[in-house]
Order: sequence, then C-alpha cells, then structure tokens
Amino acid sequence: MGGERGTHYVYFYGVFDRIAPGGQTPWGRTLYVHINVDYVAAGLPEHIIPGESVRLVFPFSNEEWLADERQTPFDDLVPGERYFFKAGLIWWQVWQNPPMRGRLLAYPFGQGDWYISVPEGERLALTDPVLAEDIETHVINQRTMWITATVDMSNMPVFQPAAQTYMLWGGWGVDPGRFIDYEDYLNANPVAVVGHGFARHHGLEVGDTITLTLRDMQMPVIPYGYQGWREHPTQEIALTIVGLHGMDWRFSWSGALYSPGHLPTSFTDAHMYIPLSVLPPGFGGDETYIGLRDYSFTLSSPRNEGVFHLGTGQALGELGFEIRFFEHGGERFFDVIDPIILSVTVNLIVFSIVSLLVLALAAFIFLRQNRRNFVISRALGMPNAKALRRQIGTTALFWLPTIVIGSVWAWTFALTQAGETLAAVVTETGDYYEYFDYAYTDSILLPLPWLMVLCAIFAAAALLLILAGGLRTARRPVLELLQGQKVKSVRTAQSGRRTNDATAQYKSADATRSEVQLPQLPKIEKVNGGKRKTLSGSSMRFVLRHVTRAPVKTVLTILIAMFFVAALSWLRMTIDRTEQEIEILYETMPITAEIRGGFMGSGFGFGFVMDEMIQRTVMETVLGDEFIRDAYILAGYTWFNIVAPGEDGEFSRENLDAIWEAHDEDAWVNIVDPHFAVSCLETFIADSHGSYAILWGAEPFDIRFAEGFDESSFFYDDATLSAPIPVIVHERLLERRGLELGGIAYIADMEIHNPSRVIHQLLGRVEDVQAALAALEQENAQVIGSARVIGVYSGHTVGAIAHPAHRELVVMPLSALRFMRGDDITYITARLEIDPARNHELEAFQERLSDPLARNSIHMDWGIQTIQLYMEIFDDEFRLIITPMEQNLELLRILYPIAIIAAVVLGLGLSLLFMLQHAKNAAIMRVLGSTKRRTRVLLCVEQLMVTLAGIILALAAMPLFGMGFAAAFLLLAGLYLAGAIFGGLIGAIIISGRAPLALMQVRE
Amino acid sequence: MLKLENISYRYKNSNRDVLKNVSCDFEGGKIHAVMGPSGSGKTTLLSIMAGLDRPTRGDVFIDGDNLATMDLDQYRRERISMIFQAFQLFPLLTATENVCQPMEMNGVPRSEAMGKAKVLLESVSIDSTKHKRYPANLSGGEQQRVAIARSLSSGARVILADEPTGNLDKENGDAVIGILRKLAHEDGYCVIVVTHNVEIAEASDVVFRMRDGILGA
Repeated sequence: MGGERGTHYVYFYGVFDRIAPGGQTPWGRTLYVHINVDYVAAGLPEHIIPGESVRLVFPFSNEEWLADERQTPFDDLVPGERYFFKAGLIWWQVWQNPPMRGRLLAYPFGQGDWYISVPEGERLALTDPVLAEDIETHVINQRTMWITATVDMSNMPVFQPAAQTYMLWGGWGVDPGRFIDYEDYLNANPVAVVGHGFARHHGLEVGDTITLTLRDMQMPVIPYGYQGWREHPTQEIALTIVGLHGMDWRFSWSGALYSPGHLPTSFTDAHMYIPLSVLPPGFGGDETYIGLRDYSFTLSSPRNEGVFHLGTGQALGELGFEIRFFEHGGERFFDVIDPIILSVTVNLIVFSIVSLLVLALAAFIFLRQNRRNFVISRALGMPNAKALRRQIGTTALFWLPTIVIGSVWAWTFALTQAGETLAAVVTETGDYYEYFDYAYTDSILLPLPWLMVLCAIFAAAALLLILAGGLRTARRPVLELLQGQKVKSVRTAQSGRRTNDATAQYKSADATRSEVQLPQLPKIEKVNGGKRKTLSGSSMRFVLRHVTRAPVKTVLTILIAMFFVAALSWLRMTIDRTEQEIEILYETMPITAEIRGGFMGSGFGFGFVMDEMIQRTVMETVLGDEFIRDAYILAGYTWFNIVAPGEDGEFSRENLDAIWEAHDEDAWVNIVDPHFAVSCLETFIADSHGSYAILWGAEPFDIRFAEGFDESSFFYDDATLSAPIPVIVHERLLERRGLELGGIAYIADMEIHNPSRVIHQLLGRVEDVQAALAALEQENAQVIGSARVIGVYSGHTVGAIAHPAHRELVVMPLSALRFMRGDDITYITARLEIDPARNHELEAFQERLSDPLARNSIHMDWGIQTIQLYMEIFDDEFRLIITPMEQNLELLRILYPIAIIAAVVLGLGLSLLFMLQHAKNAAIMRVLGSTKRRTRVLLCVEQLMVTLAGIILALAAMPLFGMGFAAAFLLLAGLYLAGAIFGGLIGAIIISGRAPLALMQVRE
Repeated sequence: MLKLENISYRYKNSNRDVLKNVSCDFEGGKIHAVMGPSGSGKTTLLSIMAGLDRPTRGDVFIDGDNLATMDLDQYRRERISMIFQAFQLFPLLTATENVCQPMEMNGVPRSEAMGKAKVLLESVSIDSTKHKRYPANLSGGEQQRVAIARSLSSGARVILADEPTGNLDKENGDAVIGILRKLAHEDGYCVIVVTHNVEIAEASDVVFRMRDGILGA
C-alpha cells in the first residue's frame, strides 16, 4: 500500500509580537511576523510547540498572495493581541534533517484571511465548516502512517544491499530489531517496523505496542475537501514494534545516521511496514501499483529466464510491462556449479559403493560366524523360515540401532560442519548479512526425512544381504552344514569335478578298515631343520592358495581397497582441482570498485550537483595505490556556462548576459551548465545504457559527432593548450544557447568574481580566451576558456553520473577540467579496476583505503563538509562464483581427513576381522612347527597381497576415469595399506599368541 | 623315545600345579594311552610333549635330547607330529597339499613333497580320486586319515594323538586305531594317545592314568 502525506500545514494560536524585515531569497525580499505560540491546533511537535516563538515568513514576490508589494496583510496586527494563524512548512523544511522549528511560511485561510483574532484564553468557535473540516482532516492526516504491507521485508530492493537500486534510495536497513520476515507473513504476526524518527518523536522503541486505526479509503490520506471520509469503515489493529528502519549509517552526512541529533522528522518518517497477512481484507489502496523500491522477484534459476520470457514475460508484456533482468552472471555461476555438482555426485556414488561393500563384507562375516547357530537351530527342528527370522531379528536388533546411531551422529556432524562452513563464508561476503539475520543454515540442512530414508536404505540393504545369505544357507542340508561337508556336490580343486556317490564311497572304504591292511608306508627322511627363508616358494604358494580359494572374501577385500583408494584419490583430486580453479579465478577475474559516499547518486538535492564529493587528494591517494590497475573517473563542476560566440565568431557579452537574465523557474537549473569531465567517453556512454540507468527511465545517450570529429577527438592535451576544449553538449542546450555543432564556444564561470573562489586556469585556445577577455573589459575574469562542440547527444543522464535534474550537461575530457580547476577539482565517480593479482587481498585493500577516504573533506556551498566515503567493491559476481567453490572446498577439506580416517580405520578393522577368522589356521601352522614370526608374516602377506591388488587396480583405473596420477594418490594408498597392514598385524599377533591347543581341541 | 622327568607345570597367576612331578617314558613301537577325567592335566601334558609350552620344572627328553635346549618350533616340525579329534586340516588346501605342508615347511622341494604325499595318502587308503579334494569334501574318517598322513610327512617318529576317534563312528574309529597300531607295531613309531575312549586304551600297549596332575600307570 502506498500513498503520500498530503499535508504539512500548521494551525496555531499565538500572541503577535512584531514584524521585522526578513532575509533575501531567490524569490525576493521577505518579512518575518514574530508570534509567541500558546496552543497548536494541528501541527507536528518537531516544527512547532506551545511556549516557543515562531517567525512567519512572508515573501513579497508571491503575487498570488499579495497584489500590492508595498503592503502586507499583517499591518493591522496589534502587538500583545492573540490570533489564530495558518502556516506551512517551508518547502525544503519538509525534508530538513534535523527538523528546524521556529520558521514557518505564512498561509491564508480558505476565505483569504491571514489571521483571526481570538481573545486570550479562548479557542476559536469554528463556525466555518470548511475550516473546521480542514483542521480536523489535517490533524488526522498528520497522524497518518504510510504503511507498506510486505511478505518479506528483507527481500524488498530498498533493503537489499545487493540490489542495484539500493544506493538510489540511500541504503536502508533495520537496526535495532529485525525485519518482518516470511514467518511473520505466514503466521500473520501483528508486528511492525517503524522509522527511527517516528519512534524517537513518539518515544517508542522495539517491543512497544502501537494501535492503528485502519480506514478503508483506498488512499493513504484524506484528500483536501473530501467530506465523506467518515463513512468509510475502520478497524483497529495493535502491532508490536519489532524493528526500527532508517538509512544505513554509511550514507549519512555525519557518518552516524542513527545518532539522535540527526533523525528524520516524524512527518517524513511515518512509514511503517507490517506483514501483508495482517492487513484486513479490503483495506489498503492502489494494489496494482508496484514500486521499484517495494517489490522484487527472482527466478528459481537463471536457466529459467528464457522460459519465463516465453511464458509469464509475454503475459506481462501484453499488460504493458517490460521485463528486463539485471546482469546476473548466472551462466558463469553454473559453469562453476556444474562441475561441483558432478564432483559431489561422483563422491556420492563412490562412497555409497564403498559403504555397500563394507556392509556386504560385514554381512559376509556375520553370516559365516552365525552359520553354525543357524544350522544347530535347524537341527533342533526349527523351520527354515523361523531360523531365518531369528537370524534377521538378530541383525535388526544389533545392526539397526547401530545404523541409526551412526547415521544420526554422522548427519549431525556433517550438517553442523556444513552449517559452520557456509555461515562463515556468508559472513565474510559482507557485513550486511550480520544484522539481516538470515537463517542461512535452514537452507543447507538436509531435512530429517532424508536421514530416515538413508537409514532405511542401509538397513534394508543389510537385511537383504543377511536374508540372501541366510536363504543360501537354508537351501543346504542340515547334516552337511553340521559336518562342514558338501554332501551333494564334491568339487575338486583343479577340475571342479563332481561326484554324487561320495558318501557311498566313504562308507565302503571305511568299512573295510576294521582290519587294517595298509600298504607299506614310505620312508620319510627327517629333513634338515636348518635356517629357512620366511617367505619361501612354499610359503607363497600357501598364501596364494588362500587368496585364490576364498574368492568372495578376496574380491570384497580388493573392491573395498580399490574403492576406498579411488574415493580418497577422487576427493584429493577434487580438492586440488577446486583449489586450482579458485586460484585461477582469483588471478584472472577483473574486479571493480567504486568510491561512494553520502547520497551519492541518489538524486537527492535541490538543484545542486551534490556529487562532487571526492577530494582531489583522496583521489590521488586511491589512484596511486598499487592495487589499482585501471580507473574510470568522472569529475564535475557546476558553475560553468557555455556561451555561444556572437555573429562575428568572437566572444559575445550579450550571449552571456542572456543566460544570466534567464531566471525563470523552468530555466534556472540551466543558468549554470554542469560540466562533467570523463576519463573514458566509451564508459560514460555505456553507463547510460546500463540497467542502472534504464531502471530510472533514462534515455540512453546517442551521440552524433560533428563532421570531421569522432571519439578520438575527445581528447585535450593540457601541455600545449593549443586547441579549444572538445565538448559534447545536449541537443537541447545546443539549440537554446545557439551553439553550432563543430563550432567554437566559450566557457564562463558565474562565480569567478567571488574573491573566495579559486581563480581557474585559462583553458582552451589561448588567443580565443585573450580575445574574449578583451571583449569583457572590466569583468574579464569570467571567461576562462574556449571550447569546440565536437558532438551533440540526445537522451539524458541519470543516477550516479549526474543529478537527474541536469539532463543537459556538458561533457569534456577529464584532463581539461582537471587543468581548469587545478587543486580545486572534485570528483564524482571513481570506478576502479583492481589488479587481479591482488584479488586475494580485497579486504586489506578496503581496509587500507578506509582511512584516506574517511578523511575526505570538501568544500560545499554551506561550508567545509566531511563526507563519509567508502569503497564499494563489486565482487558480488566474483563471490557468486567463488563462494560456492570455496564452500565446496571447505566441506571437502572437512570431509577429506574424515574420509581418510574412516578408510584407514575400516581397512584396519577389516584386516583385523579377517585375521581373526584365520585363528585356527594359525594354530595349525604353529602345531606344524611354524614359528610365530613366520605365521604372522604369512597371514599378513595374504592380507597385504589382496589389499595391494585393490590399490593397484584403483591406481591403474584412475587414468581411465580422467583422474590422472598424483603423488598424493600414492600417499593415500599408502595410508590405507598401512591401516590394513596394521590391522592384519594386530590380528596376526593376537591369533599367533593364543595357545594352539586351545583353538584346536574339542572342548570336553 | 620321549621321556618326561619330574615335570611340573603351573599356569601364570595360579598357585596350583596342574602337573605334579610327572615322570614317564614313552617308547617307540608302542601305543601309549593317557586317560583321565577332564581337568586332570592331560591337555597341559600334551602341550608340553608337543613343544607348545615349557614345563615349570622338570625336563623332557626326546631320543636323549633335552627339549630345554632345543628350538621348540623345529622340534614340532621334525621330531613330533600331532593328530586331533577335529582333524585340523587347512580347509582351503587339498588333501595332498595338506600332507605336503609339513614337508614344504621343512624345505622339501614341491615335486618331491607331492610325490611323497600321494604315497602317504595311498598308505592310509585315500585313493587318488580324492587327493585333490578339500577337507570339506571328505568324510570324517578320510579327513582323519589325511591328518595321519600329514603327521607322517614330517618324518617325526613320535605321534601325539588327541582323541583321534572322537569325531568318528566305530568303523572309522577302528580304522584309525588300526593305522596307529600299525605305525607303532610295524614301523616303530611312538604313538601317544590322549583319550577317554576305553577301546583305544584296550588297544594300547601301555595305559597311563592321570588324576589331579599326577600320572600313574
């Protein structure tokens, strides 16, 4: 809902004191009517309060009010008598900050009276219904709040530092307190954010409650003379203040916007924000109006831009809207994001495979260890299904809680890390976000259902594996399992031959051995028991046989080693590549910066170009900084006039006088021609085509050069002073001043006669200036240079490059203005290109220049002012690209050591488990005379071979997947191998240290 | 052949002797049965005789050599061999490879070991069709006979058998006893059987009874 205040009148009672001559104004002479106020019928306290004296300003030149300039309407006032007056704020007083009391503009009442006599102690009986209505509506209007109902206040362009229009409105924020957010909208929270000035003048603060009476008028104020406003329904709402809004401190003149002495008035600051859902249906007006500062939208993805144009964009076009998107760098963003997504996807796949393999291995070991229990259960008569259920039940009982606990821990840890990482990165991107208090972590938290789904998948995989293994076991005969034999199929080691009559053979063979008739035993010589190699050929055969004859275990171990090494290497490679890409981006991406200051580019002012605020010394300091590679500079000076020559081609005093005599209201801004001197004409023109200018409805520049001139003519050699200054003027100025395209013109300074002003360098072609000076005789100092109109442009400038009022500026090379004004030059724009080699040190750069910028002091028309300058670095796009990469890198760096530790621990654990499975083999070897050392070595070699095979396969496969080869991969493989060997060694030591007989004997 | 002199054994952190001054002489050409209830010290005695542990006090002599001065690993490789109730074959090695294992550990060339293993397996009535089978594909009796063949492969003359028929039916048990008897009586092996089986005791030449760490005839 938008609107305007509509009134700034004051009605008051007071005792007349005296009339005194007033000051000189651009409109003429004034007089002051001094009144001692005793009662205010309508008016704001910051402008008038009872007990104080006010001066009513009466301007003589206002013919609408006073026909005879020699008389005043206050001549009959009697000192000491009491009267009722109507007054109004002087027009610039409306916006004055801090508010000024004590001086008001005199206004007549509706019937033409300038005052009404009222006896002491009495109030006027308002018999005039118009006056009574007028006062009543003004009282109401002055208490009217301008309400903006919002869905999410923080996303409004006026509050978004990232919005390109943020500066145009002076930069607004909320402090103290918070924005009205989407939650407020969803929950219809009765909250409000009010202006600092309003809160101060009404003694309000965050947490206080205010009551509003909404009137369903579809307009923000009661129009003058509208009698029917009482008929509109009203509704009261109570709102809790949750924040105070105001301009960002950096854009204030004083550098401290929120200091109590520099607050806006309640008159200008009665703008409040409430959740849209709090606004009762039917209330609010002008709903179809969408203000630039009030509404923004973003597409869910830059990739949808085309689709949007085809769909919604076309529909909006038919309604008369034109949709243009700001340059967003979305393509570059996706150029960066796509590889990250690919990398994350591969990580997900690889680690999922590794996880499933580990799960399969765990299931394998579990099944082997529980097979005997299963078989015994079956032998005791338990049905297959029940035995299976019991096995799965055991799995569910122990595995599922483990999976859930592990998953919850991992989920919490990972998301905490991610949250901390992203929060840190976000904070680094700009201090705005700190008090915007966005819940960034919400967007990165994986929803709880995801955790449940992942847990369910892993649990299901575990149960399926156990079920599959159990079913396989269940299909085998119980007796066979109990005896540890394969009864139905007998497979040989080499041929795989099967016999089905094995049992019969055993029986027949065994039955004949009651009376043993054995053949003669061979004579076995005692062999030499001397020193033997630990890893002899027989030992290696023993190891190889175990490796090749336990294919499931071997393949699983190989796959796990392979995938772990591959996954770790992939992570390493991703980290390296991301680091390299980030570094390349840092070193190659051009970043620009701009010096900004209070109200700069805001279009704020009263006809003056207030943008000339960057001091020469500050500019020189900035340009001399080693960070700066290139710069685009715009300087300006207001008080020059461009004067056409006379018919004889020489300087014409008449033409200059004609400019000065044109003091009419419409032309006054053209008395002086703001001269803008640019360092690069191409950039200057390009600015007028940018979205920033388009947003303001500007017409882009269209330059037409005079015959024989082009862009290259826009150059002035201040060393020779041998040519007129090349200038480009607006086509309207060209016509109005009688300038000739390609012809000579003169530059005059309207204030140069003032001794306090700097005497400018004479510029242009010296002989021209000398001739002009001769023509001017005693007022010779006013002409300071000659110029040649090399081009003319149409369109008008806006925003940062000029005040909107100055649409007919004169453009000249920077060198010309710099020479002309000498040390007195001030700059408007300093757009800097930072050396990409220093992109890492942007903060240092900003910090280093903060002091010189803070010391900036320039001469303004009302005295020396300190303008709070600051450096705005336009690294949003850079950050847009770099930030996700750095976030990804940060997460990878967190994940990397965890993955390494997990891999090493799992490698160690798996080796240990496998080794413990070898306990009986170790015992047999020990009984057969193998030393502990040899036993350990053999067992470890087996584990080493299998793990090594997996690692070699992984390393060999990496180039096939474009991963190349890096020394770091070997290190990672070595770490995994070390873990596996260590685990194997621990296991080997454990099992070889046990008493062999304890493992081999059947317990009695 | 194997002589125990005043053997006592006490486990660490225990104040009780599991074996108390055990002395006996196990001769070649005989089967010796060591019987006794559970916990009487049979396994400890077996462990000491097998060179898997050293006595706290006393000496073990084999063919006059004191075990105290010998490398026990080498002793197990060359001087004694063992047979277990649960056979204790390498499950991933074939019958032949299991028999070869002690020989290969002792440095016998593979081809030679394979040849001898086949003969040994034949000698315990494992026909050649089963030589390449894994233990899981052999019957219990066959597995035990493979284990006996393995015990013979090292050339050791003392065979320690721990309940060798415990996992076998009568027929297969008899067969195993028959082999052990033949090894002792015809080939001069010193066979020491630790058992509860009365039939083995009856088939033995010498029976020792063990009770509370004391060995008696």
